[in-house]
Amino acid sequence: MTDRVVIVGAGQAGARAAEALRKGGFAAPISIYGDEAHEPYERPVLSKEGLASNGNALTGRVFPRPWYAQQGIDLHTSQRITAVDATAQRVISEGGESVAYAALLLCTGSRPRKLDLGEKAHYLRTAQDCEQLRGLLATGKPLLVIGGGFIGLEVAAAARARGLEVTVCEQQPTLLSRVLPEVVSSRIAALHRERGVSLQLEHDVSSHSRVAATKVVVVGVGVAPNSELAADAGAVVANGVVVDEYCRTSLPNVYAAGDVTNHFNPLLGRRLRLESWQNAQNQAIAAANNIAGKPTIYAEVPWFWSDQYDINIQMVGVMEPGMQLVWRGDRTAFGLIDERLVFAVGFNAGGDIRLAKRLIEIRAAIPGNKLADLSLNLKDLVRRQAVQN
Amino acid sequence: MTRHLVEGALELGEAEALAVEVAGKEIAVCRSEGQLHAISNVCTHQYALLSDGYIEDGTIECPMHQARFDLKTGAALSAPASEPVKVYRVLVEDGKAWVDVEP
Repeated sequence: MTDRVVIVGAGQAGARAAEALRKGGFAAPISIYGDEAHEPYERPVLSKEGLASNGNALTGRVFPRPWYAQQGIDLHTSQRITAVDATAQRVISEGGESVAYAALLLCTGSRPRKLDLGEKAHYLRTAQDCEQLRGLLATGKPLLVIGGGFIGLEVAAAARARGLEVTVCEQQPTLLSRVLPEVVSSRIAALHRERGVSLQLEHDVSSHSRVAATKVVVVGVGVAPNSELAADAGAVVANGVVVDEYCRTSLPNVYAAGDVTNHFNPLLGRRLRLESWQNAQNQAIAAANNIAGKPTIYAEVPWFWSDQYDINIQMVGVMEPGMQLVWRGDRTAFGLIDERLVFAVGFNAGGDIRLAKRLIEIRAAIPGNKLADLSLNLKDLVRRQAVQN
Repeated sequence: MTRHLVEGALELGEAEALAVEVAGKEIAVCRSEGQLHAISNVCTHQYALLSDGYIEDGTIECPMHQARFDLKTGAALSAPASEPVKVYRVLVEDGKAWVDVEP
């Protein structure tokens, strides 16, 4: 009978879960398996400073490789796990090795959705992709970005910073329509146009099936969760690996965390699949605590950031239909439903967003005109709300 | 140790912070639960100024990735930070606030 914890996925979630296990005093063996060659690293840098001429894709490395052995953690990179036998409680690697687990944590992440554009299209997910793209940006060729989501927009900004000619094509009539209200996303569209990007909205992507060789083409049209391993093992999978608020899958002793999960969030009262740094880190930590026998509910207000040019865009909460949008100055927009704060987005307004996160957490009811009133200190509003609750 | 005067520290309201440079070091002077604290202003996870962060319950949170630190001990309380920040002694005397910093 083994006491080993096996973590499948050597990314940010896998690394933070292993760290949390050791920090919490968990002493049994831990193995991490990942199909990439690098030790675990964070991905946000790959579409930002990683693309600068002096950029380094591994700036976001979580721990230096020696850390793992020092912690008694067996890190196996370039070793894909091809199957999970949930009955025998073993994982099987592509090399044919079979490893028993007492608990299994799936952090298999997500992969870029692909378009049928052949070899010319570059996707950006891994450090290797970033290094390759950085090299292509150095050629000075014009860049065509297909997809006006966060990845596409950040790549566009990085390319403009390098003086390249950039075109962004988006299928929808507005950018980021799944996550931002139109009045906010149109501000981001204006930002890119101001900075010299040729932005084409409501643009049919398939018109690029024969892409000019003279351009570098980057495609960013979303990601799909890598839930196949879990599905093949018999876990319930629907828009990701389905987990509860304790990060448990439908299989005994099998947990999941990060991009791959469809998780129930008790704060929001709904299921989410998040593609964020915060979720990768904090859900993994919660999963580790649950594995170590310390029941931990993962219930955070989703928080996300995107750096485009010199603007740090932050979002907190989840946009809902019928939301009343209230601006505080020209930097922060608050989304209210029946006067309860459910969402906020800010431009270089990190302080406001942090306070908004607190207000959403405590389900604060604040009249929109108070949030908009710049003579009222947001911190005081938060403190008064906290007292009321 | 040399004590350095910090202008404006006493005027700090609850959960407010001041960024100062003392003896070449970037320091955040913060008020939490009524008390003044001084810590290194640079997050030990990645370069960011803690003085722009969120203060609550004797802790300060880095504005970049929400790493939390204990204002009394400097201990890193949450990922992504694992190293503590340095803490400095704050003295309040004669209606002025001073921070003790090694030259």
